Amino acid sequence: MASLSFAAVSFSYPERAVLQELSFDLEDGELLVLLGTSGSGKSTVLRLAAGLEAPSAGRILLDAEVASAAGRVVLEPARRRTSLVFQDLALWPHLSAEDHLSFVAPDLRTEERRALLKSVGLEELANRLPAQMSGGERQRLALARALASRPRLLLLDEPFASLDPPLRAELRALVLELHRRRDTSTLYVTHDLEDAFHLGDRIAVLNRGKVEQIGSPEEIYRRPKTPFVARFVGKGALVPGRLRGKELETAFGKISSSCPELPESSEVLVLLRPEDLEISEDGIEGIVRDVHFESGTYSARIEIENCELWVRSHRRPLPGESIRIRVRGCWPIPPE
Amino acid sequence: MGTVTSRRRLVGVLSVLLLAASCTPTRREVVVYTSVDQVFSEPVLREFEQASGIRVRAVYDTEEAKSTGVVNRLIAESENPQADVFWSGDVFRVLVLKRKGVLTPHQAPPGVPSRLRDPEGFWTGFSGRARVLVFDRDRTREPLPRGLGDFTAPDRRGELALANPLFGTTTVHVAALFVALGEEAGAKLFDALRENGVRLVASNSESLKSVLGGQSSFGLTDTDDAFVALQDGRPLGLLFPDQDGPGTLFVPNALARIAKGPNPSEAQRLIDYLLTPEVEESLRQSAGQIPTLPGGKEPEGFPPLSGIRFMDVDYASVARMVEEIRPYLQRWTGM
Amino acid sequence: MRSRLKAALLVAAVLYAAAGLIPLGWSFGGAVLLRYRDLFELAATKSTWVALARSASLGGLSALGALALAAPLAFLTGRTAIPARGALSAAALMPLALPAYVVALGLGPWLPSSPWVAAPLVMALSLYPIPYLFLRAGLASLDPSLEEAGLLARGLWPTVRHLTWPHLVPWTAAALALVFLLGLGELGVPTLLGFRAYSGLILIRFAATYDAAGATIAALPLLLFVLALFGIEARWLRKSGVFAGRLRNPRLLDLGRARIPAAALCLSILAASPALPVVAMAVRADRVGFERALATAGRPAANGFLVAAIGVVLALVIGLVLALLTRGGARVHRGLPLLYFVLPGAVVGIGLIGFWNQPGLPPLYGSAGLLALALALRYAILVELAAEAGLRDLPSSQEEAARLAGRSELAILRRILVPQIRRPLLLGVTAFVLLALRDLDTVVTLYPPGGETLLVRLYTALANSPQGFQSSLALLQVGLALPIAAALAVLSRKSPWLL
Repeated sequence: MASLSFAAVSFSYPERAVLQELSFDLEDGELLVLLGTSGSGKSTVLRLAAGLEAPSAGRILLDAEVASAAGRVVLEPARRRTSLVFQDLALWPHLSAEDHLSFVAPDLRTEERRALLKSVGLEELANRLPAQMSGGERQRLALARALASRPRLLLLDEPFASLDPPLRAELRALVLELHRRRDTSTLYVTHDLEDAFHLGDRIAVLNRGKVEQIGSPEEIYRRPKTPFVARFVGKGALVPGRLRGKELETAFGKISSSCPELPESSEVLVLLRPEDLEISEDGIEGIVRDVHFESGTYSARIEIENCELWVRSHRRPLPGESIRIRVRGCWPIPPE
Repeated sequence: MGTVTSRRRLVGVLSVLLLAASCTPTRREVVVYTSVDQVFSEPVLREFEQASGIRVRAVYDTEEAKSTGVVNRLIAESENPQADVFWSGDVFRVLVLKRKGVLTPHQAPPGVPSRLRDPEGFWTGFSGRARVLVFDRDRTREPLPRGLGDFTAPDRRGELALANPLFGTTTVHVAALFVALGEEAGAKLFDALRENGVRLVASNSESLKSVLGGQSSFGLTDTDDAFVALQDGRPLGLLFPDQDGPGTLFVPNALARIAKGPNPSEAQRLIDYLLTPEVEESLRQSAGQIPTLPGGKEPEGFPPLSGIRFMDVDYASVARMVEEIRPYLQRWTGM
Repeated sequence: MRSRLKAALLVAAVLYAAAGLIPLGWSFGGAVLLRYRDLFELAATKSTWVALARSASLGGLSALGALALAAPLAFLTGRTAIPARGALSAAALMPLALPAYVVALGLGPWLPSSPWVAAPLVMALSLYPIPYLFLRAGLASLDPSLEEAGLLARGLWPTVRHLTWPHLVPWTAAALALVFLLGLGELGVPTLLGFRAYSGLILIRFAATYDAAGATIAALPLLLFVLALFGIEARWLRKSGVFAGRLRNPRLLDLGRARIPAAALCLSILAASPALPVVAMAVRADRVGFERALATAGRPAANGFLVAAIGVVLALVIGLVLALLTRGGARVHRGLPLLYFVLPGAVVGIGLIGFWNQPGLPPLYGSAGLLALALALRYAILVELAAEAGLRDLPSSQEEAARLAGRSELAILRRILVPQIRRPLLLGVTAFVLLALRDLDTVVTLYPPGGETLLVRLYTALANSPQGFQSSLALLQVGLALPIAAALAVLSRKSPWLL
């Protein structure tokens, strides 16, 4: 059973539409990442799920119960057993860490509060105010507060946006651990790819108020269904091509591939990720335009037949150098 | 902060405030509103408190041009009066209240002169002030003016300071002159005063300050204002105007009982107390007021009163004239 | 805001409106019904409009004068590193402890003889802390990085002209409006200094003709100003973002060698008020007068504090209710507080007497409670503005986080919202107490027998009491209010934007 379902949900502000017939399900115990650019409606999805806003159209269901319908919130936020970690954390500056927990869950015993603080690494800071904590500690407190009320649905709105990478990694691991330990259905909203790929059981890519694709991280990355998803979740080139049986005709020649959903002879865009390319003496010649070091290897931008491709190499190619590239794999996508 | 403790504290504070705000005294009391200057009336009321054991709660008035005054308050409260006694600095405000049905008759002791009693018993007069012209003895040269008419002469242009005739005893004085001289002559006099640069000030005490400050050569004021300045050792000269004409106006205090006042017997006790030579003597000493009961002495520092001719006043006529000349006075003051 | 809390707040707001409007409706309604012809006569009389124009001029000149004093003081103490910045900031609030009438008394002989100069000058010297507070808040709410971006791109004067000044306009306008209203309704100072204000016209109908209905009718034209200001406020000042901006620590400009002259300028403004009037009164006070003042001032002072204390409770409730309603999206009209601000205290007082002095009603009349209610109706707007500013500063996500946790609206109010706006509330309450202590024309009309405040005592003592005694009373009045003004300064210290 889905913990949370959005069924053709639309939402608009007076000056613009934010969500357009958005549909997705969050399965019980799943960690679903909602990935999208700023302004794509991610935070709005969370606010609708929490019952802080009402949809203009469509329905929102919690454990198969209608929680919101068009123009109205059926189940009030306080009764949804939902917690939200806000982007600005929304910590109460005058309450200590322990007071935060006792306010949201007055029936929690002292030992339980302490245990919760310990689970997020804040056991020594129970009496500290938020202003007396570091950025990372405040994030942990926000997490602990969200979990204190034992929610059935946990919503996180880009909680690590302002943190440096090592701290982000640390807190991501904490979120994962807490999610697995508590088996809470979690909807995590972010624009950060690393967060999405590390955390999500599945990723839903949002664009202009609609879900473009939901799938596992690998599916999203390797088999994107739209050019937007392809460009958004990773580096790669989209080159024009035509599907002929199990082959794709491109400016680089024919490349074997299969995509059962696409009709024969259709015009497609061929996705070529850096992993799909290798430097090879028997490949197609191109010119190195740009090189930078990334995650332990060199990433080079190559111009071939008026297309730009990215390839990885342990050797540093030089800008302007002539280089040969062979295509090992690709993925066809219907054009926009 | 413990929520239970803080809640109890808050309830405690609120209860104390509410109690303090609305505590009802159990002791006998009388409520008096007075337009006699607090500096003079308060000591008398305190003495009554001590002598009688009756608590006095008072509302004092401010100078005439500074607030709506106790008379308006009495009128506003007339449906459900809070006051028992009105001790007025003049008869005329009392007559306003009588006309509006705010008063009830009271008993006056036998020694009060008949000219100071209301035939229907609504007010009793005692101890009073006279309207006087004051000047700085160190600066002012002879000849001195004899009356208000002298200030219409070109050589006395701008010499006189006059309190706003729309308020207080100045209104009464102007009305008394209009009664004595006739309306036409009265208007002619005051138009001429205005043409001759009379300096309009807010109150009688401002009139006196104007003289002592050198802004004016002469000021029209009441004897109690002059008395205080004399006691302060100021070089003040004093003359009783219009001896050649209608005479100097004498303005007695007046006492009245408020209809449906909450403490009627205490009110009568207070009235009886105030209408005694002892109180008149106290007011004579503190305010330079002129006693009216037999045996009263003259205030110190004043010219002998035996030679002074006071205006023969019918207070009811003057009270009517106050109403009639008001539109004229509003035009005269430009207000 | 959820419906139950909103409903409760609306009920409270309606009760407040009823408590405020019914007495006014009582007196105005009765007066208009009986004497509507007077209104036409009033409108047709040239002197009415002349007097209104004079009072409006007094209000306007007072506002401009107060701004002229406040602006350099606000900028220098708020944005520059002048010496003794904290002490100067605290001292700038002290004139709130001086009623305008007391300033006039204190400065008496040194004031210019022309009432057109003297009256606005006195009002400005007494009221400049109001625009000072508003300007400091405005300066502190401007994000310093915006100005820094401007300074880097264009330099100082274009930045001030295009960035700083537009931001300060609504704050300045609000302050000017407040001082204008106070000047418009002022009675004591114009009367003392011979300025023929419209308030004097109303007074005549009371004090000269005992015509309460006529005086009430005469007060109606003042409502024109209320309507105009209300219209401006509704259209312009309530636009979202106009008063926005969190109050923060400013980055202070280093004036270099100009520091000392700048501090001297601040000191000279402070010397004019509060120093000079207080010194003048101290010089005129004598030992005998002071002893007598001390002996007689105890009960009036206690009365004043009792009234202020009850008034504080009422003002807090009213202020919070209205601020919460505004935050919840309700359109709260400020017409009522503006009415009470601009109408003469005597008119308000007579209305309150007429309504509350009924045998069947609870015994509020004749107690300090009614006086406190009148003062709360008049000045609760200060608490409301402060609470609104504080609530505006709070991210809505904080309340949402508490709602999601399932806590009740009351718990959220009590434990999340109100604790975080303690300081703005205390600021508002302190300003309320200061203005309540210096209120004269409401208090003098309504104080219960035996319940006079110290300012009323001073006012009645002006009639024939020795000058030494009068000055001593005035000093005591100031002395009682100064610790409250000092408390305001101390409280503001913890809000770094002010000190």
